[in-house]
Amino acid sequence: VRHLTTWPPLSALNDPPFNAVVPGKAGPSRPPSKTIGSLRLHFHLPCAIRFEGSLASAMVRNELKHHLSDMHDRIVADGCPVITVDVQMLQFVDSSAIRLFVDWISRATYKYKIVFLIDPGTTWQRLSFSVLQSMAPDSVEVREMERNSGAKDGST
Amino acid sequence: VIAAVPAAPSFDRSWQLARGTDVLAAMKREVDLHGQFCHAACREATAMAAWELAENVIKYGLDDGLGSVGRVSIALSASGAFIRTTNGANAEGSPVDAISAIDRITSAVSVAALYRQRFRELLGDLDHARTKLGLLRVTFEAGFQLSHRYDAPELEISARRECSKPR
Repeated sequence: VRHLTTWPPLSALNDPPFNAVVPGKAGPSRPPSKTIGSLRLHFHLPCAIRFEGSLASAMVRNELKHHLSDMHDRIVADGCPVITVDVQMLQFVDSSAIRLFVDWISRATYKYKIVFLIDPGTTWQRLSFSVLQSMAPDSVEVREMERNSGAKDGST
Repeated sequence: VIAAVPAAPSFDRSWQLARGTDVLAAMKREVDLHGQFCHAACREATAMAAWELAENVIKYGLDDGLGSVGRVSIALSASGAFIRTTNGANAEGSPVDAISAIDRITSAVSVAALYRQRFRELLGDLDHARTKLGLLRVTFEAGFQLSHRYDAPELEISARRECSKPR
């Protein structure tokens, strides 16, 4: 597992060793990932990120806040119109952590869309992200996912 | 012959709260580990609600001079959950905010509307210093009913919900 000290530019994710399949070489490479305390971030192509673990300590929040700010700048710089954020495996967050998502959405407005992939069986995800979608429908889309499968029919 | 009736499984613990410790993570681990008899949605809701309430104590509770800022207790059974926090509080400080917030929530026609309103406020203003979502999460997301008692200098906040079926 590769731990990054800074976020790579999104365009760099298309290059080895960050891309899922290295041309001319057998087998996929691992996508880059980063661990911040109890939180694990996985970067996927082309503009996607997956959160795993829990997000409920000041240290993790502070570090993530900087990363999200950094990532926002890179998304804008790279002209990425949509970023997919998979939070299905983000099991626990406190209210201050939800604030990070709110702030991210505020900054993304009119610049790019954030598509959250949620586990509808996790109450906090279902309730908080649906409210965020209703507040900022142009900036936020929520897709309810079946665990380890695609989106539910018609659920956006 | 009188058959022994096995006691219903339950969980009843309390923690001293102090700043700069990982007591909240320890509390959540215990609920996750020892609350397995309770259905997952209620167990997760209890862990979240207890976390939010205890975090408020850690943020705003008065230090007793020995490093403790308050206490949280959790009683969990298959049929219900009860959380209580106690902490010292200056009359002009945190109890006013906490009590008015709880009164506003408990008297609201729709907690969902308050929850949405708070998100709207946060989305519209990145400079909000305080999130003020914790008590709304406890009621709207976790399904607890809140109550308070202030007997200076002690502030007690209680939260309870049924756990017999998922929300």
